Amino acid sequence: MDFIEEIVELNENRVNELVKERLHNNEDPLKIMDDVREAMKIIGEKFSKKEYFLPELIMSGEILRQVFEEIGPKLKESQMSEGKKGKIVIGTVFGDIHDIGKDVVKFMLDANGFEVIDLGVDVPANKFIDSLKEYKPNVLALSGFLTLAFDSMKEIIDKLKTVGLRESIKIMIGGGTIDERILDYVGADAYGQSAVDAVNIATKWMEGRT
Amino acid sequence: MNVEKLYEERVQRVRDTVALKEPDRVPIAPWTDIFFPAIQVGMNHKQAMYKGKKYAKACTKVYSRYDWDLYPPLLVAGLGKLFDGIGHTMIKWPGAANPELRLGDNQPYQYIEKAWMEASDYEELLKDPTGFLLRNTIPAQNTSLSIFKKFPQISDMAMMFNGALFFFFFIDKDLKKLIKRYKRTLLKMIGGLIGMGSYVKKMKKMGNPVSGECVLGQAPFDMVSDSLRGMRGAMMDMYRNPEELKATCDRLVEPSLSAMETSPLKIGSPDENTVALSFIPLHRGADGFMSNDQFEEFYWPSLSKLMDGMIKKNIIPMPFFEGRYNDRLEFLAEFAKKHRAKAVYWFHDTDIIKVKEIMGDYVTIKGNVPASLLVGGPPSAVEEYVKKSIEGCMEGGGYIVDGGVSGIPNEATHENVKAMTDAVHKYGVYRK
Repeated sequence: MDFIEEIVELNENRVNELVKERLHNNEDPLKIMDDVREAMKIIGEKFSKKEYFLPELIMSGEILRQVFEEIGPKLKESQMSEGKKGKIVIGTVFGDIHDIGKDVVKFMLDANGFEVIDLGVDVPANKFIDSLKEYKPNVLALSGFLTLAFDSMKEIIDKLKTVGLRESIKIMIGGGTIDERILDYVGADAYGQSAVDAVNIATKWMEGRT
Repeated sequence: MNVEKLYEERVQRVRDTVALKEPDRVPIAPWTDIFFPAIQVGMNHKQAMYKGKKYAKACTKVYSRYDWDLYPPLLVAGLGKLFDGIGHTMIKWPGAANPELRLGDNQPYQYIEKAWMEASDYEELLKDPTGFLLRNTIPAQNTSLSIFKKFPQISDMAMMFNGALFFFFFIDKDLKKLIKRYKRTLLKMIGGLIGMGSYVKKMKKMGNPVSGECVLGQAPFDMVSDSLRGMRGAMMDMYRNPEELKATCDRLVEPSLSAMETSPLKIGSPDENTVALSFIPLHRGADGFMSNDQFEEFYWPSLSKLMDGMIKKNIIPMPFFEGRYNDRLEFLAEFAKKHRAKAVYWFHDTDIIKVKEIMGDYVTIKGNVPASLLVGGPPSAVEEYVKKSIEGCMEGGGYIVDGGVSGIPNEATHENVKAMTDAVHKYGVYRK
């Protein structure tokens, strides 16, 4: 198996050995990064096809963490954020501290070439507004697991309207108790049932389709 | 109708349904998220967790507005005081004495997702689970119980004069402090505990049966994920330590079953002449969390063993299939076929009409009016959803109407809940 396949198959010991070997042979860390990115893409595809699930995402995340630990110091920040498809701000809305769903969506968006800015959990409306001003993202992704998230999302979107930011941004929502029936209530543009939906919706928007 | 007769009729309706006999009408037996009744009477979340007596009164007032067949049991009224008293650290809640665990006054309590033990601890855990939990995780998860770090070792107990070790354990000054602390906690909680008892009595006087003494169960994989390794840890263990993970899940079944015989939930003075559906909230088994192969290997064996054991004890397991279980229906159907009319399957977002087709002859289905409708409405859409569910699931009995997520969500409106209730009375009639 080659390096990319070893990552995709989640053979963490073998991956670590190979990284050390390649660095020892003075390979360009950027080339290793390219392979890692390719492996991430394949893992993302497997997740979309329901061949991979959360244990695989978590394991691959853990393997990548170890790879970055090894080669990270040798890479420049600018080399890592090249050629992104679009910018997305994501966060779990205020009142809610759940992050599993949000993290899966973040992983999948990242694997599919988006630049993702993660505001964390229990994020107040003002923090979303500030981040829209600062990062000027193409898409805002609101996550929430609890039913109280309905009203938090509504309030965030209402505030975006008040400050005149609503028209310039596409908003998607998702999470445990969210469904498409709640779209109108909160005033978002799209609902995604899964992380795969999130990627499809964001891709569609970036291609200028509505 | 007199209240005794009303009470009996309602209980019988639920019993018949669970037994897969056609009753006179589809029963409605909702549970609610614990803050729903409080919000309805204008209490905030913090008050709901600290004003136990007032909370119990709110439950009586709010629930009795609705013509249901079985009413929710109360979790401990004054839960915040109990959590403060035991120094609980697994959740965050409004009003917590510890500022690090305190959420806003208008937030519900929420679990903290983290690892409480490392993978390297499995060996010790499996050697002596009780000892390991007692000395490690329980004190970490309940700061008041740090004394258990000093609990005598099993090997010591098998020695001569082993009682002496307990003597010294029980005269420890920290233990005296602990008992004092618990007494203070109990005094603070008294109002709520009395309130719980009077909730059941008052409801009965109105002809409203409250769901009986129920035990709370958890899928062993979820116990590992929630309380021991965290989800991240448990899922990495599926790759790195699969045998230890499976052994731990299996090891948790028997103690869970034994614990059900001494369930602390008895303290709400439940009425024995009612129906008890024992809640098993499932967390990590849903579609998307793991593959069917992983579900079959890691999640299902210990969960089905637990439910099988409950049925042998004449307990009705009511697994709550939160999220979607469309990919798992074969497993669920197989269990139902082996245990006809012995369980209630409560669904959140699985297609219940499809479930009815596949296993409706073997198991009662409960659910699944969406939270989005119960919060966002409008009532006409709620009515339409209930009508469609009843039409798809009522044949031959075996269907109970309830909300999808934890029953009725905290933020549900009265109008929408009333629409759900009215729709059952309008469309759910088998015979007059």
